[in-house]
Amino acid sequence: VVKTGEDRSALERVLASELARSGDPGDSCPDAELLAAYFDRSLPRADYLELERHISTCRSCQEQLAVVARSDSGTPRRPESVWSLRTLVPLVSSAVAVIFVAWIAMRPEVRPASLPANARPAAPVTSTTDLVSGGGGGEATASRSAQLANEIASAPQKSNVGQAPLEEPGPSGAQAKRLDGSRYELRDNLGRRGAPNRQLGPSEYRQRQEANAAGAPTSSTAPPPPAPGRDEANKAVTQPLAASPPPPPAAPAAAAPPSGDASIAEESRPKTDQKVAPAAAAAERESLGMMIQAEPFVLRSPDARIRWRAGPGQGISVSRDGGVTWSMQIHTSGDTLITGAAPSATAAWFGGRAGVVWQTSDGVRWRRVPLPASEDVRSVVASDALHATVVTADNTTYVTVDGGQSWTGR
Amino acid sequence: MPRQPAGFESTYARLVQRLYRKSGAERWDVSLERLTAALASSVEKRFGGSLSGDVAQYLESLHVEDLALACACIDGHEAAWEHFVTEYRPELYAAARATGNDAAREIADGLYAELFGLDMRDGKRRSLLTYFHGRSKLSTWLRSVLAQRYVDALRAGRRTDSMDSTELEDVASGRHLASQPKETDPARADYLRMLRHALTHALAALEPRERLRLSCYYVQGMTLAQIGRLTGEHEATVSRKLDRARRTVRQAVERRLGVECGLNPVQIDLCYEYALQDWPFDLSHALARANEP
Repeated sequence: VVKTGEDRSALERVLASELARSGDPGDSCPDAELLAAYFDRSLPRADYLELERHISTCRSCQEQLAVVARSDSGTPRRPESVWSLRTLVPLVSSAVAVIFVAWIAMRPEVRPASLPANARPAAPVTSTTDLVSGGGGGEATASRSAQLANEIASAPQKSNVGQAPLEEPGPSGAQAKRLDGSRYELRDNLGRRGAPNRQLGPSEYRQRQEANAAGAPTSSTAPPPPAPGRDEANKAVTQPLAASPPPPPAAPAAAAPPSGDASIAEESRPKTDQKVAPAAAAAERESLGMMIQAEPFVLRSPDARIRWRAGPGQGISVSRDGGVTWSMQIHTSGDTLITGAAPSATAAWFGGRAGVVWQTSDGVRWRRVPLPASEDVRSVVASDALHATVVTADNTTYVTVDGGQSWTGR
Repeated sequence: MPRQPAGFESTYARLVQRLYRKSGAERWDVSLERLTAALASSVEKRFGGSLSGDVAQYLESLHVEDLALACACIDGHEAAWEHFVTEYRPELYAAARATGNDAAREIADGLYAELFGLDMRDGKRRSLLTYFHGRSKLSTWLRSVLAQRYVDALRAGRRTDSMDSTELEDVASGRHLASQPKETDPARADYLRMLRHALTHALAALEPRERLRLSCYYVQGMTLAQIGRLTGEHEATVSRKLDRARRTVRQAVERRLGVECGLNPVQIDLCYEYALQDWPFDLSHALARANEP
C-alpha cells in the first residue's frame, strides 16, 4: 500500500478504525472446524462464499483465522509493507531488462563520416561468414557482408581523403566477437559512439595467445606485442567519428549489401566501420586470427538452404536444408580455413592459413587454387565463381577474374 | 453411538465403502461400521436429520483419512495415538509458539489433555476429537481450536484489563467528553460524521473478499503472506488487490463527500485532518457533541 501523503495516512488510520469498530455478529459465528475448513478451502463453493461473507465482517472470526494463518508457518507477527523487497526486486530487474533490450534494439547505426560513399566497387559483392559454435550449436549470424568487404577492397584508394588506411575487421572481427563477444562488443559500441577503440592490454593479449595456442598448437605466427602508443593513434583516427553527427536513416541502406544478399544481412551484430591504426590493427588481427582457427564457420549463400561449413581438420561440408543436415564434400588435407564468401548457391570461396584458397564453381567439386602468397588470408570477397578479391595478412590485395587461375596483387 | 440421518447407510453404502478404502481406516482397526457412524454424524451436523442436500458431494469433500485417525484415537487405539503424538502434537505446540504468547502454550497443554479425553462422562473418556467431523484437515482443525481458545482467552483478558483501567470509569462519569480537545471549528463534528458515513458506505460496497483482506491487513496486522495463505492467493496478488481496494474506498469516500455532501477538496482534507486528530474517533461521541446545544 503506497502511502504518499498525510491524507492517505489519515485515510488508512480511519479505515483501520472503522474496520475494527464494525462487525461483531455475536453468537452466530461458525465453530472451529468450519473456520478450519474455510482455511483449508475444503468447503463447497457456496458454503465457502457464505462463510467468507460472515468472516469479512466478524472481528472474532478474523482473529481466529489470523492465529491459524500465523501458525501455519510459524512466521512472527509483523506487519509487512506491500512494497517489500520481494515485490520491488523482480519489478526493478524486469524494468532494467526491458530498458536494456530497448536500448539494444534502438541503437542507431553509425557509419564513419570519413568513409566516402564511392568507396565501394560498382559490382555487387556477396560475402558473408557465419559462425557456428563448436560444430553444430546455435549459429551466430555473420557480420559485415559486402559492406565491409567493399571497404577492405577499396582501402588503398581512400588514402586521398587524408585518412589512415582502413583496416578491416570484417569476418575476423565477426569471429572475434563470437569468441570474445563482450570485449569486441565493447569495442564496437565505443567505436560507434566515437570513443577510442578498446585495445587489448599486454596481459589480455597474452591470455588470448595462450588460449589460442591451446586450441591450435600448430600455429606458427606468433603476433608481436601490442605497439606502444597505439591508443593515441586510434584516438587520432576515431576523433572524427565522435564529432560527426549520426547519419541520416538512408545511410545504412546505402551501405547495405545488394539485394541478393538481403537474406544473409546481419541481424544483430554491431555494424561499426572502424578504422584502427595499422600497428594496432596488425596486433589485433594477429591475436584474432589465432583464435579464428579454433572455430568452424558457415558460409551462407543467397539461397538460404545452401550453406558451406569449414573448420580446422573438418574439411568442407555442405548443407542443402538450411543447416539442418550436413554432408562432407572434401577433406582439405589439413588446410586451416578461416574465412570465405558464397556469392551464389553454386559458387563459393574459402581462404585460410598460409595463402590457401579453395573454390567451387558448381557447388559440388572443390579445387585448391594457387594464390601467390604465403600470408594468411584475412578476407575473401567474391561476386561469382570467377571474380574474387582476397586480402592477406600483410594487407596485400589479390584479385582474380578467372576463378583463381591467375591473381593480380596490389 | 451418534444419531444417523434416516436411510443414510442404505443410500450411501457404496460411497461409504469407497471412502472407507480411501481412508485407510483398517490401519487403525477402525471398522466400516465405525467410520460409517462417524460419516453419518458429520452429515447429521451439516444437514440435520434430512438427506435433502448434496450429501454425496459433501462426503466426497471430507478428509476421511484424518477422520479415521480421529475415530481410532477416540476409541483409544494405541498405534493411532502414537501416530497422532508423533505427527500432530509438535504441530500443535509449534502453532502455540507462533502466537508469540506464553499463554498459548498453556492452552495447547490443556487442549492436548482434552484431546486425549481426560474428561470422563458416564464412565467413558470423552475426547475433544469427537467434535472433529472431517471437514478440514486434522492439523488445521487443531490450530483452529487452539486459535479459538487463545482468542477467547485474550478477549477475557481484555475485558478484565478494561475493567481495571480508568477508561470505563471515565466513560461512566462522562470525563471522557471533557477530555476531548476543544473544538474550534463548529463544523468539525459534521465533518467527522460525514466521513464516517461515507466510509461505512464505501466499506459496505466492497466485496467480502476485499473487505476481508483490508481487515486482515489493517486490523489483524497480518502479513501479505499470511493473508495469502488465508485467501489462497499469492502475496503479490494480495498486495495488488489491497492497493486496489484501498483506492476504491478512497474514491468512494471522496465522491460521496464531494458529490452528496457538497464538500470541496479543502473541506475533504479537513475531514481527514480532524479524523487524524480524533483518531480513533467514535461516531457516537461525535454525534453527541453535534447534538449539544
